[in-house]
Amino acid sequence: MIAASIVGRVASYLHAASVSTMGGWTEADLYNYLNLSLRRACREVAFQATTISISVIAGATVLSLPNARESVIDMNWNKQFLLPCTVSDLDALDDLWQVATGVEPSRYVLEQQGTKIFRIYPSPSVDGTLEVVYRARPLIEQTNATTLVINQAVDMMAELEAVALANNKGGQYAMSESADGANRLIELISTVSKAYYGGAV
Amino acid sequence: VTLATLRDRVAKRIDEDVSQANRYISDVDLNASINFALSLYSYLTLCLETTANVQVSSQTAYVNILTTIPDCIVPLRVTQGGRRLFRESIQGLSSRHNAWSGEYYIPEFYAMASADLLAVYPAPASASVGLLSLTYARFAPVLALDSDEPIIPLEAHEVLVDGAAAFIRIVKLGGQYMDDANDEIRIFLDACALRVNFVRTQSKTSRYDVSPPDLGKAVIAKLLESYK
Repeated sequence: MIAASIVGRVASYLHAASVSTMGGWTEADLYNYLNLSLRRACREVAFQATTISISVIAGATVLSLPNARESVIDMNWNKQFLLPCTVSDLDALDDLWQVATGVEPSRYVLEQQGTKIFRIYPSPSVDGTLEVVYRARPLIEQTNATTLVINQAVDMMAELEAVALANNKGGQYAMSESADGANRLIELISTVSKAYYGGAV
Repeated sequence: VTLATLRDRVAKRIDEDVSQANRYISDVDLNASINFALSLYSYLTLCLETTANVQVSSQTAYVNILTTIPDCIVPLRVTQGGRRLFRESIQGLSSRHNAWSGEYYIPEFYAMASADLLAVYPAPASASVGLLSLTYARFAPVLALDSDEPIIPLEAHEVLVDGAAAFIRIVKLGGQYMDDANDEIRIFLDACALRVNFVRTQSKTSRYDVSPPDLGKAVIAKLLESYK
């Protein structure tokens, strides 16, 4: 995906000769719409995932996930699979789970109040490496001209959604029926994409 | 049918006079609409397939396949050294072995964590056994030159005009043109559904891991209902 190309095309669909001559929108608006559509696409469908290694010091219990993540797919400690748990699972397992220590963790739990934080159980007594596989959420910067390597269906969805968002928010320049039409096509592509890659987890 | 011919046909369909210098719908818009219809057709039907190699690094369980094959929609069949890998889910791999990503040998299973991230189990013990051959469904190449021709099946070339015209009406014309878009989308999706039936049968025969979803009348009717 080359964001500038999509933004240029959307400007044309909005009847502007270029991004600098749009009636009801600015170039920054279009990049904002593009990011909203990327976020929606990657939240609804497993379009993008990545891995990250986190070095953990002995005694650690509370850790942070990367900002640009939607959800965790898999987590392992020194290549050993960690079982995903809820707080109630751990409450049932061990009254003192929040302060429990062991050689290696066997479970993890995402913080309920904001999934950026997660805990591992039991707290390891040795240093180790956590590998987290997570659904990613790409971010396009207006000043960033690099190409985003992502499934091309996201290009189609992003282009349509940018049109839909612009037409819903463009005041006198808006065409709501265009927005509706674009949203229905997005729904079709999203449904098929979920069949290929899986949906929200 | 070349891009130039398709562009003329789409222009005629939407009553755009291509002889005018200062037009409402430019050639760039028309090309974009044709390429959109082409991408959508190949995505919905999985009608194009090809094979390429993807290298998984030694003692590494995951690889991003789009960095090697950016036109990949979905892997259909994965082999290593001529032997087929069984498709699993990430959860399925975890069920098979609680330290699956730390097992190093010759890959026997693969799983897709997303559209781009492929996992293998066991992870390759060396680079030589990490070379995978992927048969995958791919997006149709973008038509850039006037002489370029779409590589999708010939009978689908004409419905690209319907898909492209509908796209232009939706994203640029709106209003009264949406009724025409409705008819054109019906024709386009009916053609996709026909191709999907064919691909699904072929896919079953080839025992591919993924088939295109059934675009039955109910799915198309639901989409079209919303345009009324």
